Amino acid sequence: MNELASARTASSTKERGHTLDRLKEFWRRFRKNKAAVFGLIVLLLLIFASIFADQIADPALITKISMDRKQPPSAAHWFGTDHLGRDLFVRVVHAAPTSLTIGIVVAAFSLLIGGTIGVTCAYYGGIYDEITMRIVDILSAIPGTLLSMVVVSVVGGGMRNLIIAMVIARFRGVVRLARSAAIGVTGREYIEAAKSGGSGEFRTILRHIVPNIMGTLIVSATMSVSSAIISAAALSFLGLGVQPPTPEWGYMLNEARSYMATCPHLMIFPGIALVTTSLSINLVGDGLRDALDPKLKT
Amino acid sequence: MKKYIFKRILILIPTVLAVSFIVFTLMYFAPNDPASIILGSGATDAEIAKLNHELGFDLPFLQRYWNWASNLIFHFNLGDSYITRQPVSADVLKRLPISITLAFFGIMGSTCIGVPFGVLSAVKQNKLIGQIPSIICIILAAFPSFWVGMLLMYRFCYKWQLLPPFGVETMAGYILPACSIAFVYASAQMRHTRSSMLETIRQDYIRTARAKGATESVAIWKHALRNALLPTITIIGGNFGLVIGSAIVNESLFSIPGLGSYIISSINNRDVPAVLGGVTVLAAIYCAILLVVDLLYAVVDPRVKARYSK
Repeated sequence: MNELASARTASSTKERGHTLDRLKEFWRRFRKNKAAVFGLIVLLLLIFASIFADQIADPALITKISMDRKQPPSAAHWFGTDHLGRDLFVRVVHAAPTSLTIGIVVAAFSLLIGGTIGVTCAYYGGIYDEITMRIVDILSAIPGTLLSMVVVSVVGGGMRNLIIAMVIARFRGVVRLARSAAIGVTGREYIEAAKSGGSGEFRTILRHIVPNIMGTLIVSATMSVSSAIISAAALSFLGLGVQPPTPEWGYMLNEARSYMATCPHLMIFPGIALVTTSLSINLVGDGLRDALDPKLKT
Repeated sequence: MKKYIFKRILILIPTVLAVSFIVFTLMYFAPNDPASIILGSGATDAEIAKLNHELGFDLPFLQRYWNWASNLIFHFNLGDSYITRQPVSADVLKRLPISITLAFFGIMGSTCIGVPFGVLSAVKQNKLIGQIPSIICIILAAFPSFWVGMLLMYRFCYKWQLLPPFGVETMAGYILPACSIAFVYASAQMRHTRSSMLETIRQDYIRTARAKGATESVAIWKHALRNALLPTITIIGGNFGLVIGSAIVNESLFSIPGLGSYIISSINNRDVPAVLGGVTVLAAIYCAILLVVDLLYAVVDPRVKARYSK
């Protein structure tokens, strides 16, 4: 028994060194993908801008109405002003934290909930798996946007409710992905070895199955951050998402609709912000996929 | 094979009913009752209670669902809208062709862009000409379709005044919304075609074809392409079902009276029968399309067919 315990400590120190090596190897591969590095830099800048939004642009200006309505971009108002004379640059900058938070929180919760359900389905199988997957199948028959819309109409608008609605619409995809990835792993010899070595259910799942499918899940979660940002903007565009006065890119685009013919700058800048954010995240996700699993690189 | 088709159709019915039950349950928790929305803030409590009673809104939860579901199962009737008092099925039937037309053009556009470029980028994967589509694909995937729609609308409807910005009275009204859908779905289409083509090129039978002396173009265009396009059918079908349900934003932007905008306005009015009817029909169509795609797959691929007939 003692031998076993000491072997375990030894293996965990070795594991730690191994993890560091793997991280280094991962970074080396990631760095090779120039587009991904570019995406990462842009993404970090965006995160930086979201954290220091109050320092970059005075938050008091977000809702400050002035007589300079619908002004085109100028030195005083970099992105121009909207139909109420509010400075568009200030509003675009202050919308960044909202969108990024929604994207990241939605992706994280979908990963956590969907991943847990998917992995346990794969591990336990049987009737539990059967029933859960039936429910997921049924939920999958409702288009995501529609499901989110119905949920928002019930729980009401606002950021927290939007996040709940989007997680409900998105976790089902993660269940499928995590389940199929975990099924591919559970049959392997090293899982059998871990089980016969006395590893409990919880430990087997957490230490042996999850690390082996984490790469796939992380890549999909990264990509889902950007698609969640776009869906959230679409819902806000329909008036069902983040409610004013909180600035949000989708809602700003909705407001810009009425003035499209005369002031296109109102729709250009929030749109560019949206595309830049989601593009940078997609590039990082692409780089992650190549770096985590070179076999997947096609 | 027949047994399999029968089984699949049989599963479809409870799935669609379960979808309607989920939506019904969600709508049950919605804060407002239909009568107070219809009558507005000036109505008295008695009037509201009376209208709610007329609409059957005061019945217990399960009984209301049973009334609705039995009506659907035994009479193929989706009930009457709370707001217009007209049969929901008539409204849905009027709007469905519009949504289907839009989705059809959108998916056709995305296929016309996505499939050839996907094949190109797989075949020429190490050359510049093959890498450009991949780069474009990553960039396209970052564009929200409603913003693409707005940009197109600005250019074509306001700047150049070539196309109508609202409605679908003429077929020209479909052009821009379909383009904005095609633009975004093309990238998914391309990615799938590319990976399927790459997988096929590496198969043994392609190597055999080359070894037997087939020229590179014969090996790729004759032997590989047909096999590589099979999985693409699934994606096209799945996307078609998805677009019918998720083109809501595009429908709203271009003021198209499709099923999506019908469901949005019904959600806002707490028009439970209309929402239920709309979502149920959408779910049924989606499941039916997936079923057809699966069967089509078996028809074109003998390997899949052999698996089913066991």
